[in-house]
This record gives sequence, C-alpha cells and structure tokens, in this order.
Amino acid sequence: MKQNKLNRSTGGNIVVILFLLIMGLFTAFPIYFSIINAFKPLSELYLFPPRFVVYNPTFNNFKDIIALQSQATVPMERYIFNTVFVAVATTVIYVFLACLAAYPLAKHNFPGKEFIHKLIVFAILFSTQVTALPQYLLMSKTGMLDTYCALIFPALGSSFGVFLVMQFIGAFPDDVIEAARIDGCSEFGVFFKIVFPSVKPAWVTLAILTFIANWNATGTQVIFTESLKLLPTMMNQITAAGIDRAGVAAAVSFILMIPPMVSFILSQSQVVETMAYSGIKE
Amino acid sequence: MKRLISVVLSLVMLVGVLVVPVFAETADGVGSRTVKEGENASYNLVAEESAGYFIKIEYIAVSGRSVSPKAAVTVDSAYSGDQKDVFEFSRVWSDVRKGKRFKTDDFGNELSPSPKEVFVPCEKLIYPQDENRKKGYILAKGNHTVNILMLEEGISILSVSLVKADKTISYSEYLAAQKGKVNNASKEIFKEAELLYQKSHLEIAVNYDRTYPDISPNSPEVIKYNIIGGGSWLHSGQWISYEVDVKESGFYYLNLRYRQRTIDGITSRRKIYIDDKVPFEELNCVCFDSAAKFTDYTLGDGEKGYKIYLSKGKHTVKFEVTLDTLEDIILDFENILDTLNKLSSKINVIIGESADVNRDYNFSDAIPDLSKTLKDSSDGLKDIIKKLKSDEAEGSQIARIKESARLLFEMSEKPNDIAGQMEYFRSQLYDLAAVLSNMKTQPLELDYFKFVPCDSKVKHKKASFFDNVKFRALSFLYSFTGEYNSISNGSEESIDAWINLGRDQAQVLNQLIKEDFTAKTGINVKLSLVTTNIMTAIASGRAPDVALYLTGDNIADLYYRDALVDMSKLCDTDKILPRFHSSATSALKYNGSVYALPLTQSYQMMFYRTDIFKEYGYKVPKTWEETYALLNLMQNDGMQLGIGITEETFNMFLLQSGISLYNDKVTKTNLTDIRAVNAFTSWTELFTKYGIPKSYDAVNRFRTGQMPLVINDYTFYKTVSISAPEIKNSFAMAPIPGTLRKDGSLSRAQNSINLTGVAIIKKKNKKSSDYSGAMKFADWLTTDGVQEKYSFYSEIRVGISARVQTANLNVMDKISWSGAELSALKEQWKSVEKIPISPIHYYITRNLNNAFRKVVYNYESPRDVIYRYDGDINEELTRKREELGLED
Amino acid sequence: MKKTKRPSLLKYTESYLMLGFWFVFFVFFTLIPIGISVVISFTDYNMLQTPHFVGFNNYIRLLLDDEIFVKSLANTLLFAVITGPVGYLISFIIAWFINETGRGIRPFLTVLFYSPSIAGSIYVVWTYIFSDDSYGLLNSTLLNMGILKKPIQWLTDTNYNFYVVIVVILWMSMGTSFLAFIAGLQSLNKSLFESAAIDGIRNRWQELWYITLPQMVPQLLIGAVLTISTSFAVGAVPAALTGNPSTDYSTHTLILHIEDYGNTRLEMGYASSAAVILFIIMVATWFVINKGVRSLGKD
Repeated sequence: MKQNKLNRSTGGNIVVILFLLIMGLFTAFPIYFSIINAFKPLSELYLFPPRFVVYNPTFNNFKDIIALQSQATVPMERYIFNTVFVAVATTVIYVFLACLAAYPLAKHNFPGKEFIHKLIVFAILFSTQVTALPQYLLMSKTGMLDTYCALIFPALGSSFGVFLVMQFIGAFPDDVIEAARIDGCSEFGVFFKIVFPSVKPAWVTLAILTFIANWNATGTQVIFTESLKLLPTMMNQITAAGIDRAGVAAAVSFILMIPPMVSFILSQSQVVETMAYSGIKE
Repeated sequence: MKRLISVVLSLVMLVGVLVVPVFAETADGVGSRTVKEGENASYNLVAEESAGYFIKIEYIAVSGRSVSPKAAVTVDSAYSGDQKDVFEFSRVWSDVRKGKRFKTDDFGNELSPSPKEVFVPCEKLIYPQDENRKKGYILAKGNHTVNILMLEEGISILSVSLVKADKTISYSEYLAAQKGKVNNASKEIFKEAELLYQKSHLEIAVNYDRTYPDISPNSPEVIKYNIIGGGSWLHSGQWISYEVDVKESGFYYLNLRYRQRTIDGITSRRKIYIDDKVPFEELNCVCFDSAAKFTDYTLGDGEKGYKIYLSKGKHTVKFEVTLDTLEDIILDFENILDTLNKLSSKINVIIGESADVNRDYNFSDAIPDLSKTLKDSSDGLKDIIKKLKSDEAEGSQIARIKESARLLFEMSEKPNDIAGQMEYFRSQLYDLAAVLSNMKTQPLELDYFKFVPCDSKVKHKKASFFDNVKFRALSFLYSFTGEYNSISNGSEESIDAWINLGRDQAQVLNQLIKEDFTAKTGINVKLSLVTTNIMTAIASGRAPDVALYLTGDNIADLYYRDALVDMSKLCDTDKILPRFHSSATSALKYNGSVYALPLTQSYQMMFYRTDIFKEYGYKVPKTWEETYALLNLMQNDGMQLGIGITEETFNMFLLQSGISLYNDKVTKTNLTDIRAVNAFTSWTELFTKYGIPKSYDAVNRFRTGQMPLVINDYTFYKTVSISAPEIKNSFAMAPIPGTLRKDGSLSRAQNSINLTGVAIIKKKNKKSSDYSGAMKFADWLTTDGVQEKYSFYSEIRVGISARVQTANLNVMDKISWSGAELSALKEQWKSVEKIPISPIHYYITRNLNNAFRKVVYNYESPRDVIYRYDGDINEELTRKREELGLED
Repeated sequence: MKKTKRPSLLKYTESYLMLGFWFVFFVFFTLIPIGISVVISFTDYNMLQTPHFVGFNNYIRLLLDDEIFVKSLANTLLFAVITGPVGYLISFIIAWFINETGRGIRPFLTVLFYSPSIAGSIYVVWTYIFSDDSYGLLNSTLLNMGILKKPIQWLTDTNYNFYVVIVVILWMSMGTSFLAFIAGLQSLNKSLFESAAIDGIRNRWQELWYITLPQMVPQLLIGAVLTISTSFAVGAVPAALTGNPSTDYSTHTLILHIEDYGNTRLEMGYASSAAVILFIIMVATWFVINKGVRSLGKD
C-alpha cells in the first residue's frame, strides 16, 4: 500500500520529529554528562565550569576500582554476588507473588475483595519515608536485621506490582478462563497455564521496574556486616575516602548505571515483540 | 677469678663497641657535631686540585618528628632561599616483625608491621641540583667553606669531605675486574620484597594484593602482606634495602618481579646499590616499564643479563628511586610552567570573571613580549618532547605535551584570539601540571626478587587460568565464613563500635585496635562501618556500645534525649580532658559532666597566594580594617577575596566582638544585642557593600589566581594540594583577620567547626560497671599516641585527603605540616571558641541563612531582619526546651 | 443452595491461598507499618525515649498553628498540579509520538526517554547547570551572551529557585507513566483503527480522542496512580537542588516537612500526623481522577 499509516500528514510528521528531538536532547543531556565524567582524568574532573568533551579520555578510573579492591578484605565478587542475588531474588519472588495474588483479585469474587482493592490503592499512596522507621523497628524485633531477608522482604510488601498486574489481568477475556474451568482445571492450573503466560507484557514490565528499583538500593540502613553489603555501598565506601577518589566515584556511577540500562534494553524489545505477536483476541 | 674478670671485661667491651657508635657524637673526620633546626655548621675543606667535586656528608639523624631533616648546603656562599640548595637527609627505619613474617590475629590474618627508627650512620652525597649534577661543584685548588644550615629537624654530622666527581665504571670494566673469580653459584637466592631490612621513609609501606594466586605469598582465606611500594614509594631519594645471605660465592643475575600500574604509561627508575655502592654505571638508573600485571624482569642490557659477583656471606641490596636524566628535563619543564602560569594570571586579570570572545583586549599592549614568551614556551616544550623520546619513555605524556606546544604556537601567532582560547589554555595548564607531577613520581611495586646463578635459566612463575579461577572461587567462598570485623580470642568482653568513615580509615583503625587495645586489655572490639542513622538504631535497640565520629550536633541531640552515658561517672575525666583544646571539650560537656570525648575539630584559616602577594606588593592583613583595605586594592587589580557565605562567618564577627550566640544558660539568644546586630551587619556587608562574590568555586579561583586570598576551613589545604598540585609551593596559611577590642587586644576568635567525638550509648538494663570496657576504649582511642598513629597510617594509605583534623593538642605537632604551617595553625587554634550546641541547632542555621538572604538578595535592612528572625528562633527554643523537659 | 455452598467454599480457599502468599508480606511490611505510623501520629515521640499519648494535639498544631506546613502544602499542590498533569501529558504525548515512528527507532527512543528514571540520582547534574557560581553552566552562558551582568543565584534566590525545581521535576517525571503508556499503545486493537478510518476519521488527533484513549483506560489509570504518588511525594529533588530547607522554605514540600520534623527535629509524632494528612489529600485526588478517567472510557 502506498500509505503505510492511515491519516498521517507530512506536517504532522514534522511536528512529531521535532518535538521528539528537542525533548530527547533535554532528557539525555545529564546522562551523557555522567558518562563522560567517568572517562575524565582527575585534572579535568575539577575544572569549573565542567567540560562537555573529554580532552584526554582515560580508562584509569576503572582500573583504579580494581586496584582499590585488591586491598579489600572482602573480595569484590562477594559484593557483586550480594547485589545480584538480592535484586534477582526480589524480582523473581515479587513478580511471582504479585501475579499470583493479582489473579484472584481480578477474576474471582470472594468476601473482602473490594476492601482489599481499596487497601492496595491506598497503600501506594502512603509515603514510604514515614513507613521506613516502623518497618525498621519491626524487622529489628523479629531479628531480621543484618540478613538478606532485611533487603528482600520489605520490597515484597509493596502493592504497586499487584495493582499493575491486576489491571492487565482484568482485561483478559473471561470466556477463555471459563472454558478452562469446564475442562476441569483447578484455579492454580488456570493461572499457570492460561493467564500467566498471556499477561507476559505486564509482568515483564513489573520485573524490569522491580529489578531497577532494587539494583539502586543501598541497604545501608539495615545491614551492618561487611560481607553482606551491596555493591553501591561498597563503592560509596571507597569514594568516601576523599577527593583523591573522585575519578573512581564517577566511574562507579557509570558502572552502576549499566545493568539497569542493559536489562531494560534487552527486555524492552521483548515487551514490544510480545505485544506485536500476542494478539489479544477480540 | 681472672677468667671471670676477663669475661666481664670483654662483655663490657662488646657492649661498648655496640653501644658507643650509636650514641657517640665524636668520630674520626673533620669534626663532628649536632646541628639543630635553625643552626648553621661551617666546615673548612681543602681541594687538592681544580676539579669537580661532590660533598660527602656522613650523619645520623636526630630523633624528632617523623619528617626527614632538611638542610641547605652551600659552597663558599650563604643560603639565599634558592630551592636548589635544599637537600633531604632522610632517616632510617626498619619494620618490627614477628618471626619470619608478621604478627597475625587469631584468624591468621597478618597485621601490618610497626616501623621503628634506627639510628645508624648514613652517607649523603651533595651535588649541584642543576645542569652540573654529574660534573659536581667546580672548585679551584685551595680552601673552601661548606655551610650547612638546618631548615627542618636536626642531624648529627659525623664527617664532611670532598669527593672527586669521577664517573662510575661501566659494566664491561666491572666484568673485567671480576676476572679470575670462581663461580660456585648453583642455587637461587630468593627474597620476599615485603621482608625489608631498612627503608628511608616511614611512608614506604608493605601492602597486600589478594587478587592473584601467583603473588607470593597469597592465600584465599587470610590476609598476607605480599608486596611493597606502589603509591608509597615514588619520590626521588626514597630507598629500601634488604639483607641477603649468600651461601655460595659466584656470579648471579638479578631478577625482580614488579608491577607499575599506579600511573599509566610512565617508566619508573631505580638506582641499585650492592653493599652501599653502585657496582657499575648501568645500575645507576634501571628503567622499569609500566606494567599492569606483575612481570619478571632480569637486569640486563636487553639481550644478556648483567652478571653480578657476590662473595660468600651477608650483603645488602638497596633499591633507590632516582630521576637521573629526567632531572634536567624536569627543571626546564618547571621553568616553562612557571612562566606560563604567571602569564595566565596576568591574562585572567585583564579578562576578569568571564571572557567576551568578541572584545579586543589588546593583550599585546598590556603584556610585553606576549607572543615571544608564548613561542619560546612552545619551543621549550618541543625540546622536552625530543629529550623524552630519546629517554625511551612517557608515551601518553608526550601526546599531552605535544598538544600544549601546538596551542602555544597558535596563540603566539594570533594574540587577538587568545580570549576565546583561554578556557582551553587553562585546562592545558592543569594538564601540564599533572604531567609534570607524574614525571616526578616513579612508583613501583615489588613482589620479590631473586639472585639466579648465571649458569641456570631464570624460571618464570606463571599462574594458569585455572589457578586464577580456583583462587577467586575459594576466596569468594571463604567470604561466607571469614570474620572480617573482629577477632575472638576467647575473652567474654566484647564491644560493638560503629564508625562512619571511608573504609581505608576504618581498616587502619581496626588494625590499631587489634594490635594495641585488644592485645593489652583483652577486650574485643567489633568495628563496623555503618552509615545508619544512629537515632533509628537506638530506637530499635540495635545501637552499638560505642559510636565514633559522631558530630557535635548528634551528640547534643542524643544527650538531650538521655541516650548517652555520663563519662564523668565512669572515670576521672579531669585527667583526660587536658589532651584537647577547651573549645572542643566545652561543647561536649553538659551540666558539668562529660558526655563525649573529642576526636576531630577544625577551624578556618586564611589562605593566600605568596607569589601573587609578592608580585603585587600586598601585605597579609591582621585586622578586618586591613582586610577591607586590601580588598579594595585587589578589586582594583581585578581580583577578589573569598570568604564563606555561611553562618560561620557570622560567628567569627560575633565571637570577636566578645559575645556568644546564646546567653549563659542557653535559654535565649543574644541576637538583639547591639554587638550581635553589628556582627550580622558586618557579615552581610561583605557581600552587599564590599562586593565579595556570593558563590564561587574556591579551589579553581585560588589556583588561577583570581582569588589570591581565601578564608576557609583549614581542610581546604587538602583540597588544594590534591586538585592544584602546581601551586604547592606558592601558597601559605595565616590566622584569620581579627578585631581590635577595647582593651587593645586583637581577637581572632572563631567558632570551632566539624567537631566530632566518641560517645557511649546508654542501654537499658545496663549497670555502670557494664560500661567500663567501653570507657577504656574511648580513653585509649583518644590518647595522643593512638591518634598520631591513626592519622599517620591513614595518610599513608589514602593520601593527603585522609589527613586528620585532630582535636588532640599534641598530635597536631606530629602531623606532617611544614614548620611554617604548623605555627600558623597553632597560633589560630589558641583563639578558637565554641558556641554551645542547643536543642535547636538545626533551626539556627536555616534562619540565619534566611535572614542573610533577605538582606543580600532582597535588600532589606539588617537590623529589622535580624530582629524578626530572632523572635522566631526564640519561640522554637522555648518550645523545644519544654518538649525535652529542660529546666529553666 | 446446599450444593453450591461446598464448592464455593473450596473456591474461596483457592482464592485466599493464591492471594495469601503475597498478602502476608503486604500486611507485615506495609499495612502494619502504616498502622504504627498512624498510632504514632497521636503521640509525642522523639525516637529515643518512650512515646506518650497527646491525642489530637499534633493535628491541631499542624492545621492551625504551622505556617511552614501551609507553605509546604501550597508548594506541594503547585508542584503537583504543574508537573502532575503536565508530566502525565508529556509522558503520554511522547509515548504516542514514539508509537508513530518507525519500528527501528522506537526501541532506541524508548530507552532514551526512560533513562532518567533508570539512572538513579543523575539529576544531581542539574546542580552544575543551575549553579550559583558565575562559572555555572547557565550563568556563564548568559554572562557570555551579555544577557546577564552578574550571576544569578538560581538555587538560593527565592525569586528563581521555585521555577528551577519545576523544570527539573518535569524532566524526571517524563518517565513515570511512560512505560505503561508505551505498552498500552502497542496493545491496541488494529481493526478498530481501520474501521474508524472508513467511518470518516480524518487526522491523527481525532483518532487519538475517539479511538485510542478509550481503549487505554487501564493504562491511563495506572499512569494516574503513579503520577499522583510521585508528584505528591516530591522531596528528594528540591532538596538536592535548593537545599533542605530551602531559602525561606520556598521549595519546601510536604515530604520535606515530614522529613524535617522526623529526622532533624526528632518529633516523629508530629511528622506522622503530617504524613496522614498528606495521605488523605492524595486519596482525595485519586478519587477525583478515578472518576474522570473512567468517564473517558465511557465515551
């Protein structure tokens, strides 16, 4: 067909492109800046106003991270393991729990359902700064502090994921579910075999968001033992030594930025792919 | 009986022979004496013929501070202040070890050795520090006077003599001289580099690298110190020596396992002595290429190894950092950079705060010889590049110099375009300063070295990929079982201590605790790096026993809520308090009892550029009147003064007029007192009437010379030293300007800042006696000895940014400030006071800032504004006092 | 009747079971802490000593006697109104525009616009741009161009810092609902568009209003919840830019007010009552928006 898209004028196209360009630059600028800072030698980092281009790019800041770690009592692999383990465990467990809970909330009728719906929405609206202290007190009384649990469990209490998936499952056609029940499937079966795979975009999105949020968490409030600490904390400890370490600090923020970015890029195409081919039937 | 007497006599003689050389000040030679700081010693020497001579000085360092003694040595003239005449007479240190290696904790982790000064005779060769360094002082036949003026610390001079500046023999001559010696060498002589014999500077440190299994020795489970040097062994003159026991005389190759990744792309040079003599010329300067991983290197000419003859018995091997041929290049480079910096200052003054690219500044008229200077500098840099290239070194550094040379040439051709290029020019100058600084540093890490018999091949130990993986996996697994925070040596008492500093400092402290505190008292201390808010920790019952480096504000908040233990009840604090300055202790005392012991404290100093002051004829101001007058001059010359916009500046004026922020009982503020109002006015006037910039980057402005005077916390010193090394020798500190009081005295009072301390947390169900261990710890921690070691080792590990702002009066002397800096700091310290910390400390800052901004941004009247905010502050104070149940 | 009781009980069991796993964490780590906060709001608690009951005192003081609370409430509402809907709109427009572009660029653009949310605390970079110093990026540019004679203290001068904060918050808020919109736009029913074109829809804007939006009600709702919770919870960004507290509380928000009383003045009881008030406001807003969006779908 000559016209790829319906009702698209060239004028409209230009507006779109221009707008995106301007907004794009506006968005990307600070990120670009952080990236180049990681490659600046110490002498350029201190220039004020800061430079947009690196005159003498160097990998030294990154090499320094390794050099500094060689003197640590806890090997770097441990910190990496801690961070990855916590982020992945939280994501996997939470996605599973949230989807499992979202299904009955969206498709079943049971006493208390409406009430719980309201609770879920309201809980999102209560500011987390204030709940931080009571959470801390609770964990302390139950002896959870200073363990991996202290890093994983509080995130599992969030209702945001349930809310997100609930909406998607809500849009899932009821007749498919009925058919499965007639065939003799238990509810768990319906969930695992039918619903869960179909709302893949929803939980992939949730997985990305959860992973990113947990990756950036430092967990400093709840962990005291050195060997349980997370990567951002370790990096911050190194840079706390003073201005000598400013180059390393820039390299560190660059590295910490990479896994969330990469995982987003990879799974993002997943989302789009799935969307294009899943075809929610009507 | 006779036998007994002879035995006793020989014993006495033995003792005498051992003891006397160390303590005796008389020895054969031209006349020996002790020269203390500031004293001069002159020696009359006879030159037998007209030739080039070096001056050989034998000396023993006199015990004092840990910095090396420095003296100015001149021949037939007096010292005129020229840096080239200053020489360093380093001390000798050895490491105290235990057994074959080092002391360990109960888990098997090695602890770093403590250093000990050794008083043995040393030899220093004095030569002219310019292009004549190899030729020596050209002296005519006859009498000459050598003057030695001690600039810092003291030495005992044993002898002074003239030595002919002869060249060392070459390798071929050396080989020829060894003809006829029998080669019985058959076994390797292996020496771990961390097991040194002596070293010239305290800061040369052993270290550990736990990443590779082939670093000798290494363990995935425990810490082993296996390397030496790196960032701590890089200045010209620093040496490390080893004792080697040769069992079979013969010819050996010298093989070293080294790494150089501290600075990328440079070559490191070492001078090698065997038995305190350089065997042949080639060992005067051995070059080590930059290497990211440990590599083996056998001394040789590139094809064949150098055969070194070692006779049977004990020998010493010494490795010294040397610049050798780089010295001249560095000299030229320094001169060029100096010229360029001065030029840059002048241009900056003309341009002012920001360059207008389109304006024609007519630089050529304002600055004579502008183009010529630029072109000469450019040519000079090109010369340097040529010399460096022939010196087989410095790849990436050469590229940067090239770029600068090109820029300078361009600027010399088109002086009218300079305005637009000033930014780039400035960044190039910083870059050149970095290159120069890199050139002077020759870092090197050594794992081990060995003498290999010339008959056999040198074997290279290499770890396979699988060895590496296995090692890393094991150390990862051990991280689950390893105990990194404490040692458990079976004692019941254990204290939980929290610290929130960088981990380097925490590790230093941890080690001191293990070696000194726990070893002596048997009390275990579990040190944790925690950045948790201490309030939440206490709220949940998870608080530590002792909290270190709590801020003064924290301590106040905790005290007011009954969370701290009264230290006066646990021990005799009157004995401890004299360690500190009164401004620190008064802030941590409430109701007459001590609730925390000070750890750090800082205050503001006046930093000024000595070179710019000299050039413009400025005088360092002593009072505020003088400061305003100086400011006028500076502003006319296009420069500015920097002072903080914060309440600390206000506090300066306040305290100097003799009044504090609060009344004695801390129930009300004094802000409506006329003196306080005047202080507030003075503060705001700095920015409204005198036009001092409200916001600026102090370091950059100070380094470019745009702000040659900056009043800032004395930790500013650290920032400048790190980010602006090129002005290292062109600035100084002085006490802040003062106010003349009615009685004629000059008050330099100011509020102490960055006060931190150590406090004991109160816990439910604990009796007084339960806190005794914690009290012992706090007491030990704040002793002069411990603080001194802590500051020293932290600085070695991290660099100058870890220099401690000590609260201990005596420790300030021990920190490596120069003599002048130290006296300025101590002078100011005398006048430091402390405004009490009230329950509303947080409220004061924000309201003073708000008041300030109302006057400075919105042009309101200072008196009205301060009255208004004063009411607000007092309201909050009353409310808070009521809430906390404080009596009136 | 009797027959359905047994199976319905069983059915409930399965529901409760599936719900229960997550619900346990929800109760323990979210509901109970919220409950504790509410209880604390009726006490005087300084974190270190035992709290004591004061009834409604905190609320009375907060609503009647606290000037700063009023100021922060005003600021928060202003920020929320300006950045909430505007951010929401921009998120949606960008998502919609990106959807219009070709398949190849789309993933790249998505990553680009979402990056501020991924990159953690990158927004600190804005402090360089708006720095008070005359060498700060904006200042030096304007000085060079001759527009300014003296540097402006963007972050501490109350005449300007409010607007600076708005700009940065807008920058951050573009990513919030963004993902939900992108996903939603991808899942629209193509056949509806085709039939609409035949029915007479002439340009993309009409298509948007009549076809696209009604289908996206779930996504719009999620977007709304997210936007409300983030725009009311704004606090970290103004604090990082203009200091905490900002000059004369010019950019003080409710969250910062809560933090101030909680962490700095150590009056947890009072802070909790402010949090409860904030919560009530957000819930009220949610109700309003909920009604609005649902009516969109009914069109």
